[in-house]
Amino acid sequence: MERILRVEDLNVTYGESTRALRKVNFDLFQGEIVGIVGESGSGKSTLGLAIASLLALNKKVKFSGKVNVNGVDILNASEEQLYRIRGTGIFVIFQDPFQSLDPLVSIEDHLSEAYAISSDRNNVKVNPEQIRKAVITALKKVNFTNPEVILKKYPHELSGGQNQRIMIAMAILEKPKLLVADEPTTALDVTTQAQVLTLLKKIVKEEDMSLLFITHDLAVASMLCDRIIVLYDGLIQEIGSVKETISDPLHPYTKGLINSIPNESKKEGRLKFIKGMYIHNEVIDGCPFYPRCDSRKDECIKGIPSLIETRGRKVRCIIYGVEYERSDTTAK
Amino acid sequence: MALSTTWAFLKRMMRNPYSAIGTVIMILFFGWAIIEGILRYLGPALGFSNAGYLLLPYNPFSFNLSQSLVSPSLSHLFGTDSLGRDLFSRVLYSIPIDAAISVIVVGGGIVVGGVVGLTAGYYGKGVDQVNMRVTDLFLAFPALVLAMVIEYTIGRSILYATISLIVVWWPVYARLFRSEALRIKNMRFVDSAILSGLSRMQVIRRHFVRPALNTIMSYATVDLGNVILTYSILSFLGLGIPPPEPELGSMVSDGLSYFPQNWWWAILPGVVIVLIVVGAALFGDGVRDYLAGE
Ligand SMILES: Nc1ncnc2c1ncn2[C@@H]1O[C@H](COP(=O)(O)OP(=O)(O)O)[C@@H](O)[C@H]1O
Ligand SMILES: [Mg+2]
Repeated sequence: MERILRVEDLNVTYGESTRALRKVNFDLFQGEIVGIVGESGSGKSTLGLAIASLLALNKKVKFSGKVNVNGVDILNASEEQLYRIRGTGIFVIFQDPFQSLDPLVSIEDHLSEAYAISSDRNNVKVNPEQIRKAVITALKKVNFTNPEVILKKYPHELSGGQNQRIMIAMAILEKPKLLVADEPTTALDVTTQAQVLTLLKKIVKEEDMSLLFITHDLAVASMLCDRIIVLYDGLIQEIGSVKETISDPLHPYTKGLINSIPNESKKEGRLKFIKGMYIHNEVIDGCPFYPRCDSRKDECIKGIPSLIETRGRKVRCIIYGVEYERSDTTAK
Repeated sequence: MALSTTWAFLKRMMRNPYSAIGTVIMILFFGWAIIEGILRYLGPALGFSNAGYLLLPYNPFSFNLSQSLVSPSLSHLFGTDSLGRDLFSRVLYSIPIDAAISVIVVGGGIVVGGVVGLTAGYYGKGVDQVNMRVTDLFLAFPALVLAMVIEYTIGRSILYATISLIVVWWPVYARLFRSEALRIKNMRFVDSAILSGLSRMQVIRRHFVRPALNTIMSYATVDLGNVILTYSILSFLGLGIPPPEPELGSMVSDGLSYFPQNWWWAILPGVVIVLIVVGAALFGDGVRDYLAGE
């Protein structure tokens, strides 16, 4: 299988002390849907921005490591290389659909622009009629029954769900190898959420893209993804296939997450929560989940546990072997 | 679509008495400027050499010494000057030039300031430093003095007056556009635009210009009046169009030597200047409220 994305030893620090990501390593293959799951503040969006090459726009940010998309080292690429990879290589759907579209630009102009750019990058000449045809086809693919009407509209005249479908249509027109969706349904109401998720999955398969799906909601991720990466305080805690991760979670944090998913069949009176508050960057020289962990031991804070392979999966917990990362885990 | 938007805009402007006054003054000012401007420049081309005087009560250039220094009356609304020229006709005749200068100078300021300010705010770093230091340099001199010096140096004509005004006018717009760029830069849709593969220049052109203009529009409308005031001061100081072309500012300065006996000569053109400036300010306030309500 072709590898679309490889993240190697990615460290990201905001300002002087906020370690948003630490030693992040993973791959994503052609056609795969990988979920990044973690609580708010765990570094999910930062990961999305790093992969989308948008981190460098922030002056206060420091990063090290490698992010390789389609053979281009994003973090160290020239402006020219980035220019080429954007517009065909990678596209991002952000959380707030109203903010992702320019309020003063019509839907038609947004979509036409996307198609014109991707055609240009692929050295295909297109005329206005072809653009319009492609745009209408894309709108139909994202379930708009009246594309001509929608084209004339502006983002504020559409609902959140509709705008998010416009973003998906933009992705179709851009035909990126890698699509990143950062909590694309969090701002939507529950029924719309389900529609958009189903649509997203269908489009990714149909258009042969790979998807990195970022969410705080393990239940949503398990519906959509092939593999799941659990992130806690900027550290990957567990990587595994959805099936194995859900039925047999390895990390105590993942276990807690799964227990807190409301389960109709269990008919429990109330939801379970992971005890304790999530405190970001609490100064612990060890496993960041230690303060909230049921199975904690003294070994947990002798250093940051390594991400180790066990039963063909990966987990960062000393239960599966006492190994520690070397201490250079923060970005320089 | 555009027509119904215009209509809705006018209806909104009429709801508040201040913006209504501003709107009426601006419509009269620019409406007249366009009509008179068309007659003056298109008439001769079509063989009507005197079309520019068609709607004026009197020929603004013709002397009538028997009618010199006549005080305002129904036949001479603004009275006459020492050569017996009808001042109302001369005021009306001067308006298209003022309207054109105000629009060209504000437009020029927006274009130059827009390029300088948007690139400074968007690129940041070195570009920002260079652009804004140059802007500060221009802002360090009082606009009027700088415009006078420039026109003194390059020569006295309407074209040079306009150029001098643009030279002193753009820096304020550069600052406004820069702060707009800093605001827009943080918007998600800019990230989306970058990701969809637009080059940096394209991102600025397609996604910065319109929102920035939207914000700057109300300032620019008020600013039309400022240009007219400054240009009137230039012409008051003898740096406008050379005589005998009528000019609001030069009428005021010529009339001053006859003040206070023949007060109308200086005062009434001056009142017209004030009306236009106030009208632009009220109109601009209305535009701001309208855009805020959008
Ligand atoms: N622009 C920024 N400046 C400073 N700190 C930031 C910035 N963006 C995110 N952070 C910090 O980095 C950490 C990770 O944030 P983020 O990637 O947004 O997490 P998530 O998307 O999982 O909620 C948080 O502690 C957050 O406060
Ligand atoms: Mg986030």
